[in-house]
Amino acid sequence: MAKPAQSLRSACTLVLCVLIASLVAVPLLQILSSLGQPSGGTWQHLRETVLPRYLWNTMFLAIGVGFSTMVMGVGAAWLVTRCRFIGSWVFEWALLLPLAIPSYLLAYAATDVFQFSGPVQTSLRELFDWSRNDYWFPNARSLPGAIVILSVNLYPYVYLTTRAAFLEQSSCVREMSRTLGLGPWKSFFRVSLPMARPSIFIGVSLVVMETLSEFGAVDYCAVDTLATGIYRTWTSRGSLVAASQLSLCLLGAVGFLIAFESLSRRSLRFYSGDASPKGSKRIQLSFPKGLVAALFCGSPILAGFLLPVTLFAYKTWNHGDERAMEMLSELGKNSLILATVAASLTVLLGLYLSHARRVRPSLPIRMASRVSGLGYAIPGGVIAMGVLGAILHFENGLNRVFESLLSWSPGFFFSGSIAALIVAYQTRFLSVSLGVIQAGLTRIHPDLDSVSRTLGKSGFAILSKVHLPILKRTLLCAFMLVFVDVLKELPATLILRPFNFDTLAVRVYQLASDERLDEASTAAIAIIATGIIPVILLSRLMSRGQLIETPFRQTQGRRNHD
Amino acid sequence: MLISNFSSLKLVATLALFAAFGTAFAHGQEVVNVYSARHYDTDDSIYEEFTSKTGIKVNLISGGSDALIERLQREGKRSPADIFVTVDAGRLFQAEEKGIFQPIESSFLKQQIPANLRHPDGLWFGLTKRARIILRSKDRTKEGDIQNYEDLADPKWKGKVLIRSSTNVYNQSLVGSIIEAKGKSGAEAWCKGVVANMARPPQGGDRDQIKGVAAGEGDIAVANSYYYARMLSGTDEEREAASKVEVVFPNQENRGTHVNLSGIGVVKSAPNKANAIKFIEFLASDWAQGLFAKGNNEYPIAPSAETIPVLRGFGEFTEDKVNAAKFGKNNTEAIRMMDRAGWR
Amino acid sequence: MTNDLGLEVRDVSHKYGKKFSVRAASLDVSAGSVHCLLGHSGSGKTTLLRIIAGLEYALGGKVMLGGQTVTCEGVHHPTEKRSIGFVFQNYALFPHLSVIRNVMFGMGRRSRKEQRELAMDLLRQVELEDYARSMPHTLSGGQQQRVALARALGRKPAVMLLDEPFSELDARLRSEVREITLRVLRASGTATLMVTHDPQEALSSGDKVSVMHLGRIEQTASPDQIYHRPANERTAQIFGVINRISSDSEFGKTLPRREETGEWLIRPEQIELSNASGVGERCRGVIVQICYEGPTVLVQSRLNSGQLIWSREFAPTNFRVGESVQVYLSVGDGFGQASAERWKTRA
Repeated sequence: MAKPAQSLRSACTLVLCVLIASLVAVPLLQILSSLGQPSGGTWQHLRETVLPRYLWNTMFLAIGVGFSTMVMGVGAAWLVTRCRFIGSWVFEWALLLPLAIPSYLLAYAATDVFQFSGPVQTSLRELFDWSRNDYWFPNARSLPGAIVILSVNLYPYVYLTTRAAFLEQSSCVREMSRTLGLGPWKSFFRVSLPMARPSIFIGVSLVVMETLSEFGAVDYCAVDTLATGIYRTWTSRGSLVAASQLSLCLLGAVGFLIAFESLSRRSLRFYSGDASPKGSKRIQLSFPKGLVAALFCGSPILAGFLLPVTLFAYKTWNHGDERAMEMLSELGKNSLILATVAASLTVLLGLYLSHARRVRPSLPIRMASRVSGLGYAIPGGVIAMGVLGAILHFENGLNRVFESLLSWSPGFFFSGSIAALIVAYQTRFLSVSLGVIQAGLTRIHPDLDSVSRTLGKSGFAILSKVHLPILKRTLLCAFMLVFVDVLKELPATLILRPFNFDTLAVRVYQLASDERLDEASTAAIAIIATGIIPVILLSRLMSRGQLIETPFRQTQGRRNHD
Repeated sequence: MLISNFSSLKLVATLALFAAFGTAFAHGQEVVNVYSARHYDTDDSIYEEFTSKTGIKVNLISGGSDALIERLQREGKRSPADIFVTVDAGRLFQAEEKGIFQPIESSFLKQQIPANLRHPDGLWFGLTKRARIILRSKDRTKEGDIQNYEDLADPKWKGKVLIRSSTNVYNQSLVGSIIEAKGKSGAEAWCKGVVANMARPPQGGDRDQIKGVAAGEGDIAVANSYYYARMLSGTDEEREAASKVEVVFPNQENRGTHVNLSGIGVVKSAPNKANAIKFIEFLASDWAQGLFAKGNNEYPIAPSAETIPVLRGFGEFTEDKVNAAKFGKNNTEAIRMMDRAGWR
Repeated sequence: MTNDLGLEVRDVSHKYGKKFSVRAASLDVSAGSVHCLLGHSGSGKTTLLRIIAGLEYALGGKVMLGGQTVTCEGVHHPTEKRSIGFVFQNYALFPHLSVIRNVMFGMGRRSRKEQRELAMDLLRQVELEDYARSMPHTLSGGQQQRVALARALGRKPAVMLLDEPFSELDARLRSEVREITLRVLRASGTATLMVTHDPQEALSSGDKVSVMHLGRIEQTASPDQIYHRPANERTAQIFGVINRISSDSEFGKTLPRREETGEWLIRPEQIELSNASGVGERCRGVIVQICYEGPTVLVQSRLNSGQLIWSREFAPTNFRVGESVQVYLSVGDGFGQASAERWKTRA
C-alpha cells in the first residue's frame, strides 16, 4: 500500500523549509557562482606566495582553539556541575561572562597591554632595567597568542552546551558506572563525556566555525588565516572573485566537519535519562584541589572578561569618547532593536526547521536544515556581499519587470532597509540557533511525540504544547547566543545598514579603524554592558531549577521496536 | 516564549514595512546620499553645516571602501547614492576603473584643487591629504641618518625598521609611488630590502610603529602624518612617546615626500546630481578645508586654506607631484610585489 | 457481531528495510474485552501496535477501529485522527505538565471545567486523585503508569493499546496495578490490545491471547485453549516446558489411542509420578532433577529407555533425586485425554 498523501501539508512544510534554507543557500550560491569566473591570475599568485601560509595558520588556529576551548569548556562545566570548591557557585554563572566581549575588542585589549610598548613590558623593562634583547616575553601578536585570545573568548559556547548536557544526565547512569568499578575520573571520561558528545560537538563546532571566519581578532594578532586572506584578497587585490574562491575552502572545511560528525554518530541515540537532581551529589574538593579547580575556572574569566573590561573602563574614564556618550542612547537603541528582532527570528526559524526535520525527516528537509547551518563559517563580510548581491539581483529583476510593463519602477525598497540587515543576520546566525535547538530536540524522546499524536495532537500542536515548553530554556539559550552575536556583528551591519543608522559596533569600528582606540573604549564598554544583561540572565536561568528539562523515566535511550 | 516569538514576528513585519516604505517614499525633501569610507566625527559636523546652509539633507552610510565600491557596482544604475567618498588613491583608481564616477565640470573645483590632486577629467577630486613620513628615534639616531624612502632598504638599518602590514592601503600606495619612481625591478628590490630590515614581523597600526620606536623596539618607523600629529595632542603616554621621535620628510632633495589623499566623486547614476556638485564644492571651500585640517590633523587640499599649527610645526616640505591616479594604478602590482617579498 | 468489534486487523504486513517485521497479521478485539498479544522481543508485536495506532505505515492489509476503516489500500488516517489510546512502555508522561494537565492533554473541544472534572474522575478511577497537582517525576513507576492510563482514557477511545505496560514494575506492584488497570479498562468498554512478553500476564489478563512469532500470529485463542491446545510446538513452548512424545517411544506406547502414529506434546502437569510398584503397562524411571517453582515443583525423570520426561507435582514433594518411580499420563483427567488427541502434530 502506498504511503497515503498528506500532500498539501507536507508540501507547505517543504516549501517553507526550502525558503528558510535559501536564506543561507542563495548568498552561498552567489559566492559559489564566482567559481567559474577568471580571477585575473590572482589565484595563481596566491597559490605561489601566501596560500600555503594561510592554510597552515588556519588549520593550526582552528585545531588549537577547538581543542583548548573543549578542554576549558568541558572541564569547567564538569567542575561546576559535579564538584564543590572555593567560589564554585560564582564560577557557575561567571564562566559565561566572556561571551559579552567581542573578540576583536579582546584581541585589541590583549595586544595593547602585552605588546612591547605596552604597560606590562614597559614596566618590566623599567623595573629590571632591561633592554630589548635582555628578556623573552610571549608575543600576543602571534599564532599562539591568537589561539589563547580566541580560546578564552569562545570557550563559553562549549561550556554552555556541555553544562546543559551534564545537568540533564541521569545520575543513575553515573552511579551505575561507579558500581562497575569506575572511579569519578574514569566515569567522567567513559560515561559522562561520551553521553554529552552531541552537545560538546555543537559547542566546539560553533567555536571552530567562528574561529574560521574570525577576522578582527586574528588581524590584530598579526596572524594570516584564510579569513584575513579573504579580506585582503578582496580589499587589497580588489578581487572579490578570488576572495569568494578562498571562502569556498572554508566552506569545504566546515562541510567536512559536519559530515564527519553526523557519520560517526549515525547509529547512536542520545535521549537523556532520569535527571533527578536529588541523586546527583556534588563532590566536595579538598582545599588544595579546590584551589586548582578555582584557578582552572577563574583564569579564563580573568583573561577573557576582567582584563578587557578593566582596560576599557580605565580608558573610558580617562579619555572617553564624548560623542559616543551623546549618541549612546541612539546607538544602544538601534543595537538592541536589531539584536532582539534578529535573535527572535533566528530562534523562530531554527525551531521551525528542526521541528520539521523531526516530524518529516525527508531528504529535502534534511538537506535544508544542513544547508542552513553553513552560514556561520563564512566571514561576515563575504556573507554580507552574498546577501547584498542576492537582494539586489532580485530587486533589479523586479524593477526591470516594472519598467517593461509600466515604464515606471519603484527603485530599491528592500536593500538598505533594516529588513535586509535582519535577513543577513539570519544567513549568518541561523546555524547557531539551529544547532542549539537541534541538540535540545534530540534530548526529547520520540515517544513523547507519538503519545501526543495518539492524544489527538499533530504538527503544530505538538510543537507548541510539548516541544516548546520543554525546550523553553534551550530556546532562550539560542536567543541569547544570537542576541549577543548580533550585538557584536560588524561587517554585515556596516555594508547593509540603511542611511544614517549606526550601531554600537559600527561606532567602535569607526574609531578603532582610525586607531582612536581610547575613544573606541566607550562604545566598547556600551556593547559589553548591553551584552552582559542577557548573558547574566542566561547564566541565572541555567543555574536555577533543573526541574523542567527532565524527560520521563527511562533507563536506556532505546527506541522499542519489537 | 511562543507568545514573545509571535509578537517579535509582528515587530519584524512592521519594521520591514516601515523600512521598506521609509526608503522608497522619503523623497519629499532635497537630499544628497553619501557613501563614505571616511568616518571621522569632523566630517559629520561639516555635513551638518552643509545642511543648515543649503537645506539639503545629507544621508550617510559609512563603511569599508571596498564593500561600498562593491555595493555601488551591484546597485548599478538604480543606486540611490550620489556621492562616493574614499581614502587612498588606489581606491579612487579602483572606483574609477569600475565606472562608478561621472565627470564633473566645475570651475570652482578646478580653481580650489591643484591639478595633481584631482582626476584630469573631473571624475574625482582630492579632499584632504596626508604625508607618509618617517619617524626616527631622537636618542639612537642623528639628523641626516635617514633622508629618503630608499634608505629604509639600506642594510645599515637591519633589525631597526618598524612598518605595518602590507594589507594597509597607505603602504600599498607608497610602494605604488616607488614603482612609479624606480620601476618594477627597483621597487621589488626595495621591498625585499625593507623586509630584511624589519625589527619584527609587521603588526599593529601606524601609532604602534611610533610607540615601538619610542619604547626601543626599533629605530625608525613609517607612519601617516596625522597619526603622529594626533599623538602629540593625545594622552600623556602618547605625548611622551611622540616626544621621543623626530619627524623626517623623506626625499626632500629629489622627488618629494609621498602624499596620499582622500577623494570624492559624483556617482554615475546620481539621482541628485545638482545637490552632489554643491556638496563637493562646499567640501572644497576654504572653510570646510580648514575644518578638515583642524578636526582630523590632515593637510588641506586647497592651497588657500590654512594648515593647522601642529602640522606647520613639522615644517614645510616638498611633496611628490606625481598624479595620484598614477600610483593608484600600480596598486595591484604593489601588493603582489609585497607578497613575493614576504611582507605580511 | 461486527458492531461489537472495537478493533479489526486483517492481513497487515510491515517491513523494516527488506525484512518482514509483521506478516499478514489478523486480529479481532471486541469492545469491552482485553486481548493480549504475546511474543518474544523482536516478534513484531510492538510494530503491529504502532501500525494500529498509525505510527507506522502498513505495507498491506486493513485496520478498522470501532467499525471505521483507518488503514487500507490508499487510506491512512493520521494517528491524531484515530480513536485510540496508547500507553507506552515508559509511559511518556509530559515532564513539563502536572498530573492533571497530563490527563487533560488530549481532551480537546471541551470547556476547561469539563476537562478538569473528567480528568479528576479518571484519576479517581486509577486511585490517584490526591496526586492531581504533582509533577510526573515525583511519582513512583506504578503511579506514572496509572497516570498514563488515565491520560489515554481521556479521549474515550474505541481501542486502547498498551505496550508492555507493567514491564517496568516490580512483581508485587505489577499485580496490583494490573488489577486496577484491567478493571478500569473493562468498565470503560473499550477494546483493549495489550502487548506483553510475559506468558503469565497474558494468560491472566486476556480474554483472548494471540501468540506472535517472527512477525506472524501463530494462534489466537482463549487462555485455557492456547495453553492446553497450542497450535504448534513454538506456541506451546512460550508457556513453559513441554514433553514431546513420539508414538513409537517407550512412553508413547503407554498412551491412549497409541494406534495413531505421530508425536504428542504433553504438559508436565498432565504426567503423574508414583512410587508404587508394578501396576499395568506403566513406564518406570529414575528422578534426575527437581526444580522448585513455589506452589509446585518440576520433576525430571529418566525412563529406562533413556527418554527424559518433565512432570509437575504440588509442593512440598516427597520425591527425591535418585528415587525410582512410575511415570504415567494422569487418568481420569478429562483435559489430558482430550488434549492428547489434539496435540498430535501434523507431521
